Amino acid sequence: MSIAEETDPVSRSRDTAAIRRWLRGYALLSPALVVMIAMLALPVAALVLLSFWTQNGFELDRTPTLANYASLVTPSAEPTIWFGIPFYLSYPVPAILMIKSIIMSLTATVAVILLAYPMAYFLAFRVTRNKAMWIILITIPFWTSYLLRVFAWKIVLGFNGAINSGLKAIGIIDKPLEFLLYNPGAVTLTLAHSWVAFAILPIYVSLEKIDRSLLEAASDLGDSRLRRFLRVTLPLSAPGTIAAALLVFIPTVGDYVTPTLVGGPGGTMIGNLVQDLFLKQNNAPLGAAVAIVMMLIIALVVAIFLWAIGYGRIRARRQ
Amino acid sequence: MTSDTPIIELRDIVKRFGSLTVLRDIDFDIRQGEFFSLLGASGCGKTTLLRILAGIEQPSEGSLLIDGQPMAGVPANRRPTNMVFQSYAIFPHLNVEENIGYGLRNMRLTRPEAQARVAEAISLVKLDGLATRNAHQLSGGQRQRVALARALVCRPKVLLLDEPLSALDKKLREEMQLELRALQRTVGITFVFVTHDQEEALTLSDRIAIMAEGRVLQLDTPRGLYEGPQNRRVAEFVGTMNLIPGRAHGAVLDAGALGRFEGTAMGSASGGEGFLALRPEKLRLATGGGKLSGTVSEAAYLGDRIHYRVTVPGLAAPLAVSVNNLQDGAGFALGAGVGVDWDAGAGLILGP
Amino acid sequence: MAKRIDLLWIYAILFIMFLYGPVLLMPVFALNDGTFATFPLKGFTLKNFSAMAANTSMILAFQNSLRIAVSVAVLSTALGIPAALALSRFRLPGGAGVQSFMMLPLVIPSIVIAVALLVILLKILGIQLSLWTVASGHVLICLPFCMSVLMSRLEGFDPALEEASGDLGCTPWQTFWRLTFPLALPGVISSLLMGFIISFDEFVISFFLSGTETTLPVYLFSQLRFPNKLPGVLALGSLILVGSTVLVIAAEVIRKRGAASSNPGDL
Repeated sequence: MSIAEETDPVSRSRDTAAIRRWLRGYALLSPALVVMIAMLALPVAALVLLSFWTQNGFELDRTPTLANYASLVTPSAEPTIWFGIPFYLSYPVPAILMIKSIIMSLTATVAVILLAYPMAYFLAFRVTRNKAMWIILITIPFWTSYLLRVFAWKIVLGFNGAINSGLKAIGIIDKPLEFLLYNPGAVTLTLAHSWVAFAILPIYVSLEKIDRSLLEAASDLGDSRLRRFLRVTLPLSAPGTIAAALLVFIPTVGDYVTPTLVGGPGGTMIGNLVQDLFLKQNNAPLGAAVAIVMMLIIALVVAIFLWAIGYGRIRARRQ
Repeated sequence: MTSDTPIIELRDIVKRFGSLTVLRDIDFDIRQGEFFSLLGASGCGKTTLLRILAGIEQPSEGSLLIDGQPMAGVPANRRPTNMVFQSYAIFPHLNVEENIGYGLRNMRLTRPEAQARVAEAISLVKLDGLATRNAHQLSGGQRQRVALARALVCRPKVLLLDEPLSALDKKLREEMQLELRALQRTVGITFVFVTHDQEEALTLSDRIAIMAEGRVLQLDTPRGLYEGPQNRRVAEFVGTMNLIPGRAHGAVLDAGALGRFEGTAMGSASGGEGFLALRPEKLRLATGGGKLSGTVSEAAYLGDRIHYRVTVPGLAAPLAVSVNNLQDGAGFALGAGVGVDWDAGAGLILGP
Repeated sequence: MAKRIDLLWIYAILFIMFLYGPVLLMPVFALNDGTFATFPLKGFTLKNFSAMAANTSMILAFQNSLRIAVSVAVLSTALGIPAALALSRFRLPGGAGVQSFMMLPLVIPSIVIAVALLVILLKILGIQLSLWTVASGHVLICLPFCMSVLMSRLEGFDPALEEASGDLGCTPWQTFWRLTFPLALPGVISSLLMGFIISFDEFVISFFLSGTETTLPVYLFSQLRFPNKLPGVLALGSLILVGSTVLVIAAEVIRKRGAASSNPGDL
């Protein structure tokens, strides 16, 4: 056993060797850190700054103002009805798209977890030979062009797409089904397909780490296979599953490619609005405000989610 | 062989990790050419001390001299020490020969000189014929030999060994102990050996420092430690020791109802709480008489000797007694009443 | 193994079909002799592929993408190696915070990264958009991936190896080149390949940050709107899919093989 005791500041300052080590460590870290600060922290700060300016035609007004944020919540007496919900806002588009994006992303995330978990379980507990090959097979789609994977769904679901022409060819339908493409459902399906491969790995890793003797012990203590899964496997794989859910949810809320290609007018998301404000409407300050509000709302949803499932407890248990 | 000239001088070394003090008051010399062991349970600071000698860790306070040179600010790669790591740290991308020659590349040697030294080292550790074997094709014992050769080939003034035998099975370990001792005599280099195995330390070492909680409890020859432990913890750590508690008055221990016993006073045991310490092999059993009496509660037959446990009324722990199996006969049965006796000079009076 | 049908195996096979099905339609239709991506298939042709040779704007975009992807891969690996070394070897105060910061681009929607870079480049610094601005954005999103590949590789081996190297007389610089780099090499190669693939396939940042010259995904996107360009798009898409698949397999195989040989004969 070692003896713990308080050290006075004088003798602690003598640990110059440790300080020299830290300096060397940060020296090694500095090139990457400088790049990250210059290309992530500063641009985000610039984005925040821009959101307090306003666009007057082609002129950028640099007087600090909250006008952009205010315009997102300015009330109006005339409600805009969206799916039966009245929005009493004079500029309701951002609010509606935000809510729609969160719902579509959440749906896609739930679908991803439901699809990925059994596959991760299969990899961890069923595959005994050629494990590396299976893992590569799962990983490949994620690394191949996102754009093309999304576009593939357009080929599958389109008016003249694979499903319609296939069904027509075998005589089940005589005119193409139009409800397949260009709607929120198509976007959600495509998002789920694009991200499912990414979600398998974290779940798989947390399942693989479970000590097999714990499962044997649960069986020995009388658990059926289902009870054992619910009482041992599922709780122990929770951290990986939660990480997977967050890794899917956060980037998909702001996705731009999928709604553009398969969403049509009804399937647009908040990312389309940001793109539109920046590149078409030439109102970058408002676009910046929308992007920032989007990030804050994502962070809020994540925080609520983690609080609701008691993430702190789950993490503490893992240690 | 061993001379009195110090090769390593440790002066008031203290080592802290943050607010945790892992070494304190480390102050002793290691002599030129000796086989020196740092012995203690895990976490006692022995490995940290070895790493300070190697230059991998820096002491928080105090000074260290190797061969008369102060080592403050001298990094590991410029010290005249080499280390055999507990995990052996065999470079996985190099073969046996390249592993052994690794350190020579940092010296000003011609290629033939280096090759000759590697070849010499290979035969010194009996790895002939394995020079081009890959690291991952080696057994545990072979990896240990590569680690040894890799360090010795640099001809360090001090060789540091961090529990090098702990990963080997018992039979191989005993074999390697003998080889290690013979090797040390052949090369004449000072070995500093870290171990938690007291038997190993006793077998191998010229001198041993017993460590606990970051301090040196006692530094002596194996015989000195076994025969003359300075305090209770050393007595308990080295070999088996029976302890009879009481109040120590110089060379006499007053054990209350059990009686008063004479012994050799060790350390600073006077006037306070103390113990009479008795080695199991110094005790004799008889059917009656003796300084204490009790009943046999356990007996283990080991062939050459018999180990008994004798429960003595008034003593919390039964006495361990080791009897040479000289006479034939059944010895003492379980439950038999026996008297326990010893020579007056065999007991040691120890402080708490 | 039991003879009864294992539901998980059936699920796994269906899952792989779902995962690959839509994507595999692309080469199928690319080789089909028809102007629409429709069933029934009309017949086998290579004309969609041969037509690509004459498409100069596509070839130009391809060359741009190649140049960007190679420089991004090299740059983010070169930045990632010392950073991964620092985070895995030195117990730095605040190291965990720095690491989380470095991993941020993984969880920030890329459209936010794109517009943030657009703002600072155009509105604040007044820099013209070019292939350089695209490459700098790509370095940002590749760095976390390269770092995690490199760190998992560096954390995989015994810290005593580097101590042993120092003990045997090597300076930290010599230790890096004689020990750390050779051992980390599989990780370095797979980091290079990953950086290349991510940059080569990246669309959103390229779309926002490219000026007059475009990258291949941006070119592809511009073609998607025109139905008459579909056969060409299918052919190009198929080639990109095949190319990325080969690179991903190479990266994974090198990484796995490296992982297998790094802890040989563990006791």
